[in-house]
Amino acid sequence: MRDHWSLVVFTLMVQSAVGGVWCLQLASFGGINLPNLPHLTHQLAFILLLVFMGLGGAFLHLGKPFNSYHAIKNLNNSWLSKEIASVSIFCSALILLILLDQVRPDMMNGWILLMGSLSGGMALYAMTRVYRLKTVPSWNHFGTELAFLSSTLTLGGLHCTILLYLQTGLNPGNTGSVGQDAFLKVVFMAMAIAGLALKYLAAGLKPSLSSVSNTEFRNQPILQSGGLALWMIYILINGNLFWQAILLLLTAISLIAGEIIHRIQFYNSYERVGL
Amino acid sequence: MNRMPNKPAFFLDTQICTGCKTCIVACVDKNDLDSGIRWRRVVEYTGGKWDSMPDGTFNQNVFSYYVSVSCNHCAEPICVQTCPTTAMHQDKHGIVTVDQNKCIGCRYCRWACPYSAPQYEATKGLMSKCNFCVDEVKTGGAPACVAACPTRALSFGEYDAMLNLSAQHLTIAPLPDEKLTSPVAIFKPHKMGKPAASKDGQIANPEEIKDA
Repeated sequence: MRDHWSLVVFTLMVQSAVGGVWCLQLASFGGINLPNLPHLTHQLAFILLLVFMGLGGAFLHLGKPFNSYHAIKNLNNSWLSKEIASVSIFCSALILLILLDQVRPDMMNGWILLMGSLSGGMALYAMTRVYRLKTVPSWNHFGTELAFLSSTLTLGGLHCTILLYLQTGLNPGNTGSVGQDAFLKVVFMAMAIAGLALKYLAAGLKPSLSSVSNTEFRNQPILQSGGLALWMIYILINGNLFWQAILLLLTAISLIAGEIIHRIQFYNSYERVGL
Repeated sequence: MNRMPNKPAFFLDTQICTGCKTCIVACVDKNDLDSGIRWRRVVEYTGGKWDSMPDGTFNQNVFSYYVSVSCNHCAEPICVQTCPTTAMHQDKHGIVTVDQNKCIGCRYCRWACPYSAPQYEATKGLMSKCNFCVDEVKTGGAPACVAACPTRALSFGEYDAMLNLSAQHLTIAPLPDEKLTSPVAIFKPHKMGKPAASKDGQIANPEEIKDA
C-alpha cells in the first residue's frame, strides 16, 4: 500500500464535495431560500473543483491513465466501474446546477438541488462498495460505510463554514440576514459533529486482525475533537473577524489533518485473506 | 492440432514438492518477466513447537511444507468481477488472462485476489499474470512450470482427471477457503497439512511472495 496517497486525495476530495452539497440541501430543507444564499454559484463551483481535484488524484493512481476510457466497461460487476460512473454523474449534476443558477437563479430550490445530493449519495455508496471486498476482511464491514459517511459530513460541514465566512464575514455587503447566517453555521457544525460521532462508531466496528495496528496515530481523535472545540468557540465569538479567522484556520487544520490520518490508517489496515 | 483440455487445471502434490523453486525460474524464463514479477510463487508454511515433558525429554510437532501457487484460474474469479475495464477476462476454457490494451493499472485485481496472482509491472504500468502457457498447451506441450518440475509434484490436465489424482483435495493453509473464489486447481495435502485459514503456522518466506 505504498501508493495510497492518490487514493487518499481522491476519496477525501469527493467526500468533501458530496458533504458540501448535502449541507446546502439541509439548509434548503431547513427553510433557507437557495437564491438568497450569497454566491451559490461560487459554492457549487468550489464543490465541482473539489471533485476535479479528486479525479486528478485518481488519475495519478493509474498505471496507464490513457486507457481510462475503458474504466466503465464492467458496470454489471465491478464497483470500481460504478464508482467512476457515479462520480461522473455527480460532476454532470453539479455542472447543470451551476448553469441553472446562472441562467435561471429563480428556479434554484431544494428539489432541484436533490439532483446533486442524490447523485453525490450514489457516488459515496459506490465508493464504499469498492472497499467491501470479501477477500479483505479488514475493510469488509459496516465500519467502512460509517467511516466514509463520517468524512463526508465532517469535511462538507467544514468547507461550507469556511466558504460562508469568506463570503459573508469578509464582505459584509454579501451577508444574508443575521438569523440565516447563524442558522447556517449551526447546521454546518451539526453535520460535522454527526460525522465525528459516526467515526467513533466506525472505530468500534473494526475487526481485530492479527497484523492490523490500531496504535498508529492514536492521537487522531483528540486532534479532531480539539478542532471541533475550536469550531464551537468560533461560533461563540461572533463578530470578531480576526479571531474568527484564526480559529477557523486552526479548526480546518485539525479536522483535515485528522481526516488524512484516518484515511491513511484505513489504507494501512489492508489485510487480505490467503497469500 | 489443438490439444487444449476443455477445463485445464494445475495439480500440486504438496507431499513431494521440495520447494526448489524451479517452477518459478521456468515461468520467469518462459515469459521473460521483469525482476520481482512472479506469476508463480512457492510458499513455505511452517509451524509447531518443542514441548518439554515432565520426564525431561522433549516432544515436538514442528512441520514445514511448500505450496507452489500461480493463478488458479478460479471458477468464480474475483479479479474478473472487480476489474473495471474487463481487461481481466476468462476464456471458454476458464483461463483468466489480462488484455493489456484495456488494463489501466488500477491494481484493484491485486487488492482482491487471495492468491496474489495478478502482478503489477511498474515499468509498463500494467497488470500481468499466469496465462497457463496457452501457446504451449495448445500444441500438446505443458506449462513451463509443470515441464520443469524435477519431482513431478506439479502437473496439469483436465480438471476432472486431476481430481482423481488425489483421494483428498482439501484446501490447505496458507491458501484461503476455496469457497471464496472456487479455484480450479487441486492441492494434494501434505501429511502435516493444516486446513485453510489455519493459524497453526506462518509463512516463512513472506519477502518472496509479497506483491511486486
